[in-house]
Amino acid sequence: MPDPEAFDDFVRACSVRLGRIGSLLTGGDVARAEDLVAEAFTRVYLAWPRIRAGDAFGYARRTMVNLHTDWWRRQVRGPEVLTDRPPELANGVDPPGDLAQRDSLFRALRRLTRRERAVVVLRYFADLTEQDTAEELGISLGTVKSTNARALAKLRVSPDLVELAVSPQENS
Amino acid sequence: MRNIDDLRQALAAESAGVVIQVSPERVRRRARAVRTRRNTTVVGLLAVVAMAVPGVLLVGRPILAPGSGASCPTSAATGEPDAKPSGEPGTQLDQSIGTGVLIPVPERHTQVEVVIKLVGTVQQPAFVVGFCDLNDSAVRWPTTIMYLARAPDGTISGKYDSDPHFRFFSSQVALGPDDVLDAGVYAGSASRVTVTSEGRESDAATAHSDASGWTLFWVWRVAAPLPPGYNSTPVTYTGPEVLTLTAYDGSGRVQDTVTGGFLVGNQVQDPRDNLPR
Repeated sequence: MPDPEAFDDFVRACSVRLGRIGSLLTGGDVARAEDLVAEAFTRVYLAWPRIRAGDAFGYARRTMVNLHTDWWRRQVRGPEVLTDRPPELANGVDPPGDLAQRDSLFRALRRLTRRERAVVVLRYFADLTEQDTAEELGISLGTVKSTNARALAKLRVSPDLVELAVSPQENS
Repeated sequence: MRNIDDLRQALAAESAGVVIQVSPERVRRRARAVRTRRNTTVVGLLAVVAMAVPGVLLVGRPILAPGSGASCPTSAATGEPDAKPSGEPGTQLDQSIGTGVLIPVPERHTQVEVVIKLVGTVQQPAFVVGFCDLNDSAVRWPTTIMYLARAPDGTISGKYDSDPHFRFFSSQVALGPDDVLDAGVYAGSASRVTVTSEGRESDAATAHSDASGWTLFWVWRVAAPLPPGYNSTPVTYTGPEVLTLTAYDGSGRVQDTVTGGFLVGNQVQDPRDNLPR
């Protein structure tokens, strides 16, 4: 059995970060993100004795990304998780344009394919290198490069981010 | 969003307000449900297979079963103890061990860990070699199950009544040209088990099965794999690669040893079969 305290610490320490990755992967679908995080933690729990000394966070993140991007696994999606919380939590503070921009970014992310979204999130949120991204997704380096370029091109012309185009020379 | 730095900042800022609440207790409940579902599947499968195999055929060629759906063992090095000590013939055995040996299967974008199990009952045990997919902790690859008939003296019966009994059974997973995993059972209690071939002796890891009184062992070592089918032909195989298994007691004395034979070094299917290596 996993060491309860160590595993609890891991869950507490990584929930927020994994939740943010999940929300970006799902284009702001918090319920689906929560389901991804829960499934990732479950698999970490089951494999805890083997991975506890290694990169447990990486294992969880990889599980989430692969669960979300593998099309054939989507066909056997787990049960829906009901939640009594709205997808966006109002905190009473809205700096000018903040919520509008958040919504527009999530909308723009939703226009990407799942793999494109995963590459963007891993490269620019998780700060992985192209090589690490390729290994994480189990695809070639060339596929990462082309997928990344395609994703950035889509974001550049996305109507949701039309005034916030990504400049081509920054595609690296 | 004028450049990549803006994109980075936007991704960080947009996700900052997201609140995901997953409690450890919720994870445990979910894991228990997964385990129960998988264990129910594999126990049912083994029960059906066990009932379908006549006792007279308990020792024979490995049987290939489809992916069982069983979960990976959660105990890495030493395995969890199986049922309480009893030695009663009907006592169920259920001891799973992750060997720690990983096999990359790039064609499937995953790695698998070789797992070994002792299942069945004390009277009719079976030694299992399976492969756990690290992507989802499921044993879904071809699994080799060898049924071993237990003799009244606690050893392994031969194929016919007049045959001598055996103390060792082992399987070998060929990992590469000079790379093998040997794993098996010693029908008795041993403090140390060694595997030797080509003049090189290797200490195996061991785990004792209290219910059966047998000892599981496994070792990953540098050695040429045994040729396929070497122990299933009428002509006795004499080398060049021959496997010697030896069990020692607590004071370092040799209890039993065997070299070659049809219960030693049985071939195991692995997930890369029929794939280019």
